[in-house]
Formats: sequence, structure tokens, C-alpha cells
Amino acid sequence: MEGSSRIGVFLCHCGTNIAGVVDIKRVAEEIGKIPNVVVWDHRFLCSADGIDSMVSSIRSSGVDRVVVAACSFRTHEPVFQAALHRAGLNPYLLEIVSTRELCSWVHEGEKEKATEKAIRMVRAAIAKIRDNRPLERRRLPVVPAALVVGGGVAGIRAALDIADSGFTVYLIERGASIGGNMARLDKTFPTLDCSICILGPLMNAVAQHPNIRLLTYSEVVSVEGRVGEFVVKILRKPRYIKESLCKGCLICIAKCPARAIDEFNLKLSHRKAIYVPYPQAVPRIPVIDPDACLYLRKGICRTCEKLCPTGAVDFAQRGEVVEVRVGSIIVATGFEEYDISSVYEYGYGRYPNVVTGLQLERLVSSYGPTEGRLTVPGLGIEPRRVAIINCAGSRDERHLPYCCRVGCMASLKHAWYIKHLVPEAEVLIFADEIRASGKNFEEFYRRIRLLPGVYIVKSRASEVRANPSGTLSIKAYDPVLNREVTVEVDLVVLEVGIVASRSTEAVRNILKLGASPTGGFLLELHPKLNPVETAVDGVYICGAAAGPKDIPESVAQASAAASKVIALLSRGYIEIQPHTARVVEELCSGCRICVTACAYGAIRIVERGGRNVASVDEVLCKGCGSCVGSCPSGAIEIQNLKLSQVEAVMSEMQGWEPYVQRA
Amino acid sequence: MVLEKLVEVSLETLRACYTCFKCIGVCPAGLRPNLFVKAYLSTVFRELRDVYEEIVTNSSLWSCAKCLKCVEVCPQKVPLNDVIEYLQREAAKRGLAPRAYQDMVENIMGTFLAFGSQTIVSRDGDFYTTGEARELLGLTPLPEPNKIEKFRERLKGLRSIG
Amino acid sequence: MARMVKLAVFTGCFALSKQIAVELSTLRVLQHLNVEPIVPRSVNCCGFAFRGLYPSMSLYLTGRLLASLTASDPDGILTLCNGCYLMLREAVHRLREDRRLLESVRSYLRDEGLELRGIPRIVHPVELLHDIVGTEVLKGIKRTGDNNVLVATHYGCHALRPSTVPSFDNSVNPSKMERIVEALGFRARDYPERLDCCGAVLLATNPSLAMKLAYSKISGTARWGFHLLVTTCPYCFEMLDARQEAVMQTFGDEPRLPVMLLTQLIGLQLGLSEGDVALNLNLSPVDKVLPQIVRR
Ligand code: SF4
Ligand code: SF4
Repeated sequence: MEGSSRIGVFLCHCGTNIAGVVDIKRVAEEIGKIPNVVVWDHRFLCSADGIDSMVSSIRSSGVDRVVVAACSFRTHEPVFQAALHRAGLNPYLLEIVSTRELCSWVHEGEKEKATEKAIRMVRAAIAKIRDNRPLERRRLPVVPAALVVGGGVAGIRAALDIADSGFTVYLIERGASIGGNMARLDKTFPTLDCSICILGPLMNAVAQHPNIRLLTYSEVVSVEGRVGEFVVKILRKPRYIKESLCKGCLICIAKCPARAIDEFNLKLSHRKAIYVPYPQAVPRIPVIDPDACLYLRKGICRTCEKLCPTGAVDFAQRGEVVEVRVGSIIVATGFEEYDISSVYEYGYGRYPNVVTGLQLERLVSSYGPTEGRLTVPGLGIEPRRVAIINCAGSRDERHLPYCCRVGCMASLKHAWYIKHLVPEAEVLIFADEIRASGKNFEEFYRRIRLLPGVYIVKSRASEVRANPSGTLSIKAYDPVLNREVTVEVDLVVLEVGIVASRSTEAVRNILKLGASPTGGFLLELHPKLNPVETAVDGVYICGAAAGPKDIPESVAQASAAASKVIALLSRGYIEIQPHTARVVEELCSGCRICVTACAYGAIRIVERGGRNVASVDEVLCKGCGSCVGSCPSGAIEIQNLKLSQVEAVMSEMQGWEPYVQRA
Repeated sequence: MVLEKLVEVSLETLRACYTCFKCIGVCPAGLRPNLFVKAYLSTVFRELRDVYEEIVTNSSLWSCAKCLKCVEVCPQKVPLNDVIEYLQREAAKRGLAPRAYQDMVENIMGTFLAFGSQTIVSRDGDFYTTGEARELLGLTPLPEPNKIEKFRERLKGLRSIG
Repeated sequence: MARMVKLAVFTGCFALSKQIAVELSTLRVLQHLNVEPIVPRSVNCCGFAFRGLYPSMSLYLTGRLLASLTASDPDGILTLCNGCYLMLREAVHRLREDRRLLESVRSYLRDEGLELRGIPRIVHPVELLHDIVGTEVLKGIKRTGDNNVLVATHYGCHALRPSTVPSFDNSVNPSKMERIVEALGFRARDYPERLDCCGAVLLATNPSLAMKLAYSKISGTARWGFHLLVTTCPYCFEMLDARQEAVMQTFGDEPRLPVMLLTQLIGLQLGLSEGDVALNLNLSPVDKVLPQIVRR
């Protein structure tokens, strides 16, 4: 094929983006000197007019390969591939040279040199494309089911959306109930509606949805496969209750003599060894905590077993691994509060009456440790004065450099709680800034400011110190008074920064997802254009595991992720790029080096005619080329990026002397 | 970096101060550490020149107890101590450093130590000089200022750089 | 038993000339703890006071001191004063990070016939007791004290801060001194004023402010019912012990917090006499607590 091919070269000006630096006319002249090459240029090649003229130029000139010198292939490849298709050429007989990103934009001050570089780049592409072969994309079927990891409000919303469109959803939750952190909240800002009252119906909808398989008390153990067909292993931890028999009467709980720290109430109270995390839990099936249960620890008791009218208690239950196949995965593992005891100056962990914002939610909740009566831990009284400290651990280079996005509004809401429950109490909010940029947030801010007895000190609290009486003193500077103040309070609420939940990291490692350097938030494919996609095809993220956000944002993002999944599942197939590795079997010695070199597990050793040779799974192969470099026999090549092609490119880029200098 | 150039401490990150005032509330000396940041910034913004003048000539600059609490709690890791010391050097250039520092330097130049003999009191009300008390307790006498000439020259030279 | 640790001891100007109980009690206690102290005679001021004002001069002083202290090739340098500890650990930190600076300091010293060979380990008294001697050894001391004595620990600012220069404990939440106190059989407890400043640095430039800082430290600590406060630093000791009466009287208060050096407390536990640890030089009301510490 080489030698006989005619190559069309299209040079785009991109307005002045390229042409303002690169002398297009000179490039056209130089390139035109190469035999069997035809050159065109256009002011905006990707415009409708540009594409039309490109198609007709290809057709009329009879070129059979095309080089486009324009913007990055990352954004423009599909457009130009479609043009080739219209002109009757295989779309893989196209090379895109990024004369904008890799040349004009980075060499603005050096027009001469940029022009020379552009010439080299186009020549290199011409050298390479001579060896390109027509390739075909392959289609693979998609399993019409999805996995949602995490049963907080984001996971719930995503699961319901996907299930509503008719696909099967496996919703996995690590804890005993779905609901996540939102179930801990008493009210939500800025509307102050009861959190569980709006979350509860969604939780029940999940429980009853015919398309949702709810797996609580379960964790993802491994994920194999690829977009369209992931094979997921899930560990169902033993509840010691037969879910099929339990009627949810909860009689079993009443007489349990063993106590353990209540995690749902954030260590503010105790629960039994057999428990449901909270009254509205879904599913309404208890769990036995093996670290607390007297029978599981010491072999005595079995009280719950005797009480259960249906015989659902089963101490012999063992953990079980189940396997599901899904076409797509959503990760919604949520957030948790930063370990604020490391911010020593605020005294958390040392003084019982320093609590976090989430703990306050439990302290005021009607199903919290005090059933809605606000009592100061350690002091046992209603607070007379409360300090709320914002940005605890947040916007802090020593801890979390970022803003938690919810603390400001939460602090206002918390002031409202306190005023609502203890009207004569005084509330001071220490905040160097109040960020109220959401819908109705500023109005809410004003509403709280108008409450009598609420004061906002525009500074960061410097220190919290205990007094011998058990009260606390806040030291801070008040810019309005222009002096330091020391305020004695009964209770301190820290609006603590948030980080991705602990289980996020485990899931992230299993799925090989990226994370932010601080906070461990899952990394999106592109912060603006692909906020719910990840670097792994078919895996999407949403909610606070993907970055700090409030409830409406989490829910919106969950629906966005769900719609991506629905689009994928309802199309029913995936197309795979053909730029994959190919084994030249005659050269392969079956040494297995490439098998270990491949990060995607795409290479296996198979038998061919009595010989062991490597074989590439085109679906798993990303075309990264690691195997090519590792192969001692030179037996693997990436299609349309053969070694000979790379060498041709390199020699054009390095070796070519411009004609002007030669003359 | 070499010994003579030590004063070129990097004060880059102090621009990160977002005036949260945390340092003020924590300062036991009742200073406003972030005001020193403002003063330092006057080397960039001429509008703040009067702040600079005021701080450099104000005796509060010398009231820093060097407890470093402000440095420890600052959420932006602003090197407040470096800033204060920078301003103290600026003030010293104008002869505004308290006399006590000079006395200590003089003492070192004469005896290698910052302090000479002191009066030591016991709970029973007895008075001793340092030498007496050390001898009484079987401690070695204070170091003797032998061969101090070179050392003295060295100090003089380095003091003039900062 | 492990090999005897050889430490060059640097007492520091202030402890040499004023708070001499620091050196005395340390040397006495070390005799019982398998540590061999070397006390070099030719030393100089660490330069702490001019750390900010004349940085080059002060680093030269610290470098010179390092050279004198390492001449006998010890396992490390024990500094008895927090100011010296900061200067030495900071200098060591910088010289390790910056070869050019090290060379520059060396060339200055060579001129004087001094040699800075290796960069030594700098040891704080609390570190010595906790990490080198070990709390197990301290626990082994036959106790004479009353288990209910509640001891306030005072580390002092420059033992720990700034956290940018490595020190022997967590700079915001240290615990080694508490472990030592507990190993001796007493009770230790966190208290809000624990990491507060004694004010000593201000003695030279703003004495009345220094008194104010000391007052808030002493009176704040006293509110918690401590029987005794211990420290290791001679400057902190000066403010909290020697000047306690003056400090309290300035603010219309009474001296009421017994203050001892940690090494004095250990010495008494080891059976040393009050004179061996120069307890007669403590000016705070230590008599109040003495019967509970040593039952003879
Ligand atoms: S604590 Fe730091 S950031 Fe805050 S005002 Fe002080 S110097 Fe600025
Ligand atoms: S180092 Fe100085 S300015 Fe900073 S808190 Fe301490 S006394 Fe105040």
C-alpha cells in the first residue's frame, strides 16, 4: 500500500489561534513539496463549512489518507473522523496534528520556530500515516443491570432513577441500614424541613422497588471485567438474623443485656448488642454485633433467640460472598467528619462538651440519645450559652486546605436548633467568613441573624479551654470590638471539615479510581465537562464521596450519574476503540513478560498450533503500549502505532533540516 | 545559603494570610501578629507604608514572647515569627532595639556567656554569688574567657551583617 | 545492662549562672541512670537571644557551641535549657538540610582552630528520661511518694515549638513528660494552661508583661488543684518558681503552686537528699508538698 497512497493535508488557521503564530502559507508550501501530498487550508476547519469543504476536497482529489493539522484530537477527533466517513474513507486513515495545543499556544513569542515545528509535525504525521491500516470498531453487549455502592441519599437517588427506567440495580450498603449521614440530620438547611421525613419515603421506595436488590451489611470485595460487563463479588457480613424470616417486630432487642457504643449516635450513647441503628432503618431487620454479643463472645445468653417469634435469630450464620454481573457501577460512598481531635486547640476528645456538628444533630434529634432534649454532654444541663466554631479543620493548611461547603449553613441551622430548643440560650458563631452562595442561603443567613441572642463573631476562634467548673472558655479576637474576647460557654459545637468516608478508599482501590490528595475525594474525569465520569469506563461517581457538597447537589449529581448509566444500559452495547495491541504470533516466544507488564490484565497466554503465545483481549486493552516496550522479541505492536511508524515520526521530528537552511 | 546571607529568610507564604484573626486571640502578649503581616506587606503596597512606620517604631514589636503559639495555630502556616524578627531587624537598623540585647552581646564578647555572675537566694534567705554557690554545691567554675580575641572579632563582624 | 550512654551536657548561660540547681540535680540523677555525662569547659552562649536580631551571629554561636560539645565524640548532646535546645535542634536541622550552610559554618570555625565533625543528636532532658533511660527504669525506682500527688507538667514553648523543626514529642499534644510523672508513681493530667508561655523571654525587654504571662500561667494552673508543677527549663523555672512570689504579689495574689525541676523530683525519688538536688534554692512553697513526695 505504501508509496501508492495519496495523502490529503488540511491546515486549519483556527482564526488567529494557530495562524497568528504559525505561518500557514509557508507550511503549505513546504508540505506541498512532498510527492503524493495535496494541501488545503481553512480558517475554521471544524466549522460546518470547513467540514463540508474537507469532504468535497477528499472526494474530488481522490486522496486515500488524511492529515489534519488543527486542535487536539482529544476534542476534535470525532468531528474529523465523521468527515472521513462521509467522504467514504475509513476513519482510522486520519492523523491529527495538534498545531494549536502543542505548537502555536506554547510558542507564541517565537513565530519562526513555531512555523518550523509545525512543518516537522505535519511531515511526521505524513510519514506515519503511510503505514496506517483501516480499522473497525467492535461492539460488545452490555449487561442490563447496575451496581450502586453506598446507600446514602446519593446512592438511594441514583438507584431509584436507574430502577425506575426498568433496569436491575444492586444497591450495596456497608452499614445495617441505608440512609447515610442524612439520616443523622435533624433538619436540613435552608428550609429547616425534617431530614428523615423527606429521606424516609425514598428509603422505603428503595425497599419496595421491584428492580432494586438491596444488600445491606455488605461490602464490595472485588470487581473484574469492564464496562458493559463487570463481575462484582460482594461480601454479605453475617447479621446472625435470617432476613427472610424476620418480620421486623424487634421484640428480640428489648431484653438484650449487652451494651456497645452507638455509632449511629456518634458515640454519644449506647445501644444493645442486637440492634437496628435507628427506628426508621431500612431494612427493618436487626443486626447482632459480634464484638458485644454475650453469646458470640462467651457462649452465654441467647435471650434474643428465645424471644424471636419466627425463629429468625441464627447464631450459626456465616459471611457469604455473592457474585453479580452489571454493565455499570456508581460509587456513592459518602463522607465523614475529619478527625477533629487533631486540631488540638479546639479541645475535641479532651472536653466532653466539645461536640461536632453531626453530634449536635444527634443531640437535638427526636430519635437521638436524649430524644430531642438538648443536654450538654458532661454537664447534664441545658446550655445557657453555646459557641459554634466554623471551619474546624477546614481551610487550614495544617489539616484540610479546602472548604467543606456545608459548615456555614450548618452553623446557622445549628444556631436555630439551639434557639428553638432553649429559647433563652445565647449562641455565638465564630466564623471569619460566612459563605452563603446557594439558593435561599443568604436569606437564611439573614433570618438567623435576626434571631435575638445569636451573635456572629467575624473571626476564627483561637482556642477552647476548660474551666474547673466544667464550662469552656473561647478565646478569640472580635474585629468589631477591636479587642480579644474570652467567652464562657457550656457547649462548643465544631463545624468540622469533611473527608471522603473511610470505605471510599477500599472501593477506590478495587476499582482503581483516582482521588484528591487531601480528603480522599474521588476524582472525576474532567472537573467541568465530565463531573460524574471517572477514568474507568462505566464507573461513575456522585455525592459527597466525589467532593464536599450539600444534599441538593448530591441528589442532582446522583441523578446525573444515573442518567449516564441509563444511557449506557439502554443503548445496550459499547463500541471499543481499535487501537489495541496485536501479537505477531510467529515472533512470540510465550515468555509471559507482557502478561505482567499489562496493568489492565488484558494479556493471556493461549495455545496456538501446539505453541504458547500471548493473546490480547481487545476489550480490556487500552492501547497503552506497556507490553510493546516489555516484549523482548518485538512481537507486540499497537495497531496504527507500529514501531516503524514511531520511528518514522521520530526521525522526521529530529532529523529533518528545513529546506531554507539546506539551500 | 551561607552564614552571611541568613537574613534572606523566605517570607513568601505570609501573603497567604486571610485575616482570620486566629493568631490574635491566641497571643499571650496581647499582640496582633497579623498586623505585622500587614506591615511586612508594605514592602509591596506603598499604601501600607504608615502601618509599617507605626509598627517598626512601636515598642510592641519587642513585646513578642516568642512563644510561637501564633505560628502553631495559623491555618495558613504564615511564618509570623519570621515576620516579627524581620521587622525587629528593620527597627534595629534605626537603633530602636532595646538596650538589653546590646548588653548581652557585650557580655558574650567578654566571657563567652550571655550573663555574668548573679545573686542566688535560698529559701532560708541566704545570698550567694554564682561562684560561691557553684563551689558550695561542687559544680565546676564558670568557663574562663581565654583566647577570646578572635571570637570577639568574629561576633563584631557577624553582628554588623545581622 | 545496655552500654552506658555518653552525653555531652550543655547547661546554658542562665542555668550556669543563676538556676544552678538544674545542672546539679541533672548530674546527680544521671549517676543513677547509666548515663555518662561529659561537661565540656569551653563553651559559649547558644545565641538564643539574638536568633531574630542577628541571625548570622547567632547561628555562628550555635555552630561554635556544637563544635565544642562534639569534641569528645559523645553519643549526643544533652541541653538543659529549652532556649539552647531550640537553637541546637534548629541548627542541626538546618545544617543537615543545607550543605553549603554547613560548609560556611565550618570555614568560620576552622579559622578559630575548631572543627565541627559530625552533626550530633540533640537530646532534651525529657527525651533522655523517656526515650533513652526509659520509663521502665523509672518505674523500677522504689517509690516513697504518695500516689495521689497530682503533678502539672510544663514543657515550655521552645521544647516543642516551632513544629517545623523536629523535636522530641508531638508539638501540639505532647505526652512524654506525663508518662515520666506517671512512671514515678504520681498522677499527671492535661490542663488548659499546659502549653502556655512562662514569659521569660520578655524579662529583658518588657518585664511587666513577662510578669503578666507568668501570672496567668501560675494562677491558671493552680485553679486545677495540682499539688506540684514540674519543668526542666531554667528560664521557666525562674519565672514559675523563683519569681512566683513577686509575680503573685504584683497581681494581689499569694504564692501557692509548689514548683520543682523534674530532675529534683526524680532525685528525691531516688533517695537523694534535698541538698543533693539543691532544693533549698526553690523559692516556691515546695515545703507544702514535700511530705507527700518523700516519706522518710
Ligand atoms: S492566624 Fe494566620 S491567617 Fe489568620 S490572621 Fe493570623 S496570620 Fe493571618
Ligand atoms: S510568638 Fe509572639 S506574637 Fe506570636 S503568639 Fe507568641 S508572643 Fe504573640
